[in-house]
Parts: sequence; structure tokens; C-alpha cells
Amino acid sequence: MVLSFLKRLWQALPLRLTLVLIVVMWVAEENYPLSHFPMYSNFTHYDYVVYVADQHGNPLPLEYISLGTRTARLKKNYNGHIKAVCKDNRNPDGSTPRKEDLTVEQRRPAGEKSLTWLWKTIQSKSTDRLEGVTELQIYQIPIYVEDGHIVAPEPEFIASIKIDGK
Amino acid sequence: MENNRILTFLERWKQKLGPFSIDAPEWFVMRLGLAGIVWMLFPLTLFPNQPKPNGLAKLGMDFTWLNDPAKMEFCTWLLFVALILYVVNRALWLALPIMTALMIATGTLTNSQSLEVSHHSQPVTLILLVQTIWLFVAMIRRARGKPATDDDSDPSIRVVATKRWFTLAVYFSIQTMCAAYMVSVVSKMVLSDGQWIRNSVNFPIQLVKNDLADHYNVVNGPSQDKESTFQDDAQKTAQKFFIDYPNIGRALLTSGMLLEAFCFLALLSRWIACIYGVMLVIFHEIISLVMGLTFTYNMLLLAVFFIGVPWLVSRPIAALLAKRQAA
Repeated sequence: MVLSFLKRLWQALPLRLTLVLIVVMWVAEENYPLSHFPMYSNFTHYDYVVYVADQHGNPLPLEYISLGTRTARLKKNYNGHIKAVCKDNRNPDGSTPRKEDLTVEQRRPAGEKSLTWLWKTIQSKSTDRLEGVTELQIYQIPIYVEDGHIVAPEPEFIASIKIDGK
Repeated sequence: MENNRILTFLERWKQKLGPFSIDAPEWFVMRLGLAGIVWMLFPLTLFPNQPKPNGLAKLGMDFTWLNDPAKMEFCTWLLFVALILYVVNRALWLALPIMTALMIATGTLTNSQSLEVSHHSQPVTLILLVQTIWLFVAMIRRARGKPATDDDSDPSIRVVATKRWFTLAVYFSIQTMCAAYMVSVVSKMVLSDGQWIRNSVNFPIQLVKNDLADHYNVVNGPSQDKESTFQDDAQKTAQKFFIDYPNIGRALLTSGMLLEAFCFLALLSRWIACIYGVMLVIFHEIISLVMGLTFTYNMLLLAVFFIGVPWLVSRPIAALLAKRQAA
């Protein structure tokens, strides 16, 4: 009786493909080409940007020197490592610390991994635009609301890697 | 009794949200449009390794060979031939799987670079995947001696040339786009613990973030001092406006989320689809302007499948064909 009704219900449902795809995409999460499109699913009170600088701390034009990698892509890579750091540094009560509560020392390995990834990506294309650069540094600028105003304080140095011997 | 009322209600809506009738000229322009979008998307920036495997790469599949210029050139030519076959509606059983496989391979490699991934090509690849599956379902039905679709009176006509098959191919493509928009609403509601509308007052933080990210893409580089365009100025003005008036930003985002949630209503009629498509394009344009993000491929898909550009473009061809048939 119930099964027969469910069968009739399924046959009567409009947009069955849409419904199936929503379920599949939600369960699959981020597995290309499936996605549950989680971007901007939570507007938090804190975010940040990262940028790359040379050995003197002078910002480098990332898109130009890497032939196409943008700061948003670098941040995605770095943020992935930061999430792993949060999971590995649980609070005493078992909860995951917030990204903004991690110290620079805790974030350093994530910065080094992202710079290594960036350097490999640049090496696979061309290092010509890094003439005179011997070190890549990564900086983070936190962004948050304080007293009703958006604040983006001084950049924090996170990590660096040597790039001698291109 | 109550159950029957539910079924009657659903059946009524199923009828209302049925497929639009598509003719051969419109289907031709739609294929041309989709092929153009795939071609624009394909030469993506590639990467030498897969540090964070995603999708098929998680199952051990290695797509880093795409980073080899010679192999990539071969794939580009292969895709080109497949797209031509797709546009002329020949050997789709070969063309569609090639197009889908190449899009999945390049997309998987691109998204295997970090835990956070890009989202610009998934709807296009999903539409190709759905069309491929739908083609093989119909072909297997025919091979088993059954009709390919619920209206397949002449088995001598190729499956892809039957009106019912391509009408449903378009219907399923539109449903795929609806699913992509609607699942993002589910994500917004679940991942924010139902607080999405409340938290969207923090939207200006994203504007500042994107502005800074754009700055560090070009800082100290050759394009740093390029003259600001009208679009740059409009972007700055819009950003300042939404930073100064965060509740207006919240209203904008809420209306966009509602558009996404109810996008299936576009299937009520061609006109509603057109109006709905235009509204979604306007929404994408505002977000692009304010946040500096690009939704090029979403907007192109909307033009092809919602707004009805192929219908408009194909009318002279349809008229010519009708005239020739009458003669």
C-alpha cells in the first residue's frame, strides 16, 4: 500500500531530474563536475586576503609573475591548508579553533605549503618574470568589522621560501 | 482521499512545468551556443600536479598529462572535431562523450589544486554529462527494440534527429541549471545554520576582500597604472554604496537567493523563462560589478537555455525551411 503510493508519488513528481541532481550534488559536495556550490554560503564577520612579496617584502604582481595565477586562487590553496591546521589544533573542549585565532606560527606551515605549490606552478610555465627575486614571501591581511567599520590592518608576514636555482 | 489530492496537485504542476516544444532550427542554434561556451571554457590554466585530488582524481586518476603542451594540443583538436560533430548533429554518440570527458579531465585537474575549488565550469560540464546520459538511455532503448522516447514512431530516424529526444535534451539541460542554482540555496541555508540572511550584513567584508585581492594581482606590475575604465569606476562606486548601506546589500542578496530558489518556475512558459533568465543575468551582473567576480558562462548558459536567444536567432531559418517545405 505504502510502496504503491510512493511509486505513484514518484511518477507524479514534477522535475524529477532536478530533485535527483540536487540530492546527488548535495551528497557529493565538491567532486568535479558535481558541486553543492557552497561559495558565499556564510558571510562571516572575518575574512582575509593573501599576497606574495619578494625578499625585501615588496608586493609582487602575482597574476603577471605567475602567468595567470590570481590571488584568489592562491588564497583558496592557503585557506585549504589553514582549515587542516584548524582541525589539527583542536581546542581542549574538542571544538575547532576559528581561523582568526590561529597564531602566525600555527599558520606558517600553511604559508610554506602554498608558496611551494605556487613556485611549482610558476616553474611549470616560466620563471622569466622573477628575475632578481631570490625569495617568495606570503603575507596575510585580516578583514573584520570593528565598531561598525570595516578594518583591514597592516599585513602580517606568514612564511617565505628560497627560490634560488630556477 | 488526502493522498489522491496530493497526487492530483503534483500531476497538475508536472503538466505546468513540462518541456517547451523545440524545433530543429532552434536545437541547431542551441548546440552552436553550447559548443561555443565549451570552446571558450576549454583552454584553462593547467597545473603540473594534483596536490589535493578532487572527483575522479580521488579515485587515483591522474590528469597531470594535460600539462604537456603536445598532449594538450591534441586534446584541443580532438575537442574541436567533437564540437563540429555536435553542432552538425552527427555521431553524437562519439562527440558528446569526448566533450564531456575532456571537460571533466581539465576541470578535475584545475580543481585538484586546493581544498577550495573553482565553480565556473561545473554547470556546463553537468549539462554535457546529462545530455550524454540521455543520449545513451535513448540509444539503449532502441537497441532493445523499445521506442527511444515516449514519442518515437519512426525508428528509421536517428535518435538525435527525433523532435521528442531533443525537446527532452533541452528540458533536462534547463533542469540541470535549476538544480545547480537550487542546491546553492540548500548550501546557503544549511551551512549558515539558517542564518544566511541575517549574516549577509557582513557582505561588505567580501567587497573589501575582493578589492584588495584585485590590487595584489597587479601591484607593482605592468598593468598597475593602466587608466581606470568606466567599469572600474562603477565598481568602486557600487562597492562604496554597499559598504555604506549594508542593509541594501542584504536586500539585494536576499532577492538573488529567492530567484535561485524558485528558478524552476522558469519552466512554466517560454516567456517566463525569458523574464526569469533576464532577471538572473541582471543579478549576476550586479554581483559581478560589485564584487569583481565573473559569471560569464552562467550568463551565456542563461542566454541559450532560459532567455531564448536561439529561438529568436533561428526564426529566419525556420521560416525558410517552412517555405521550402510548402513549395
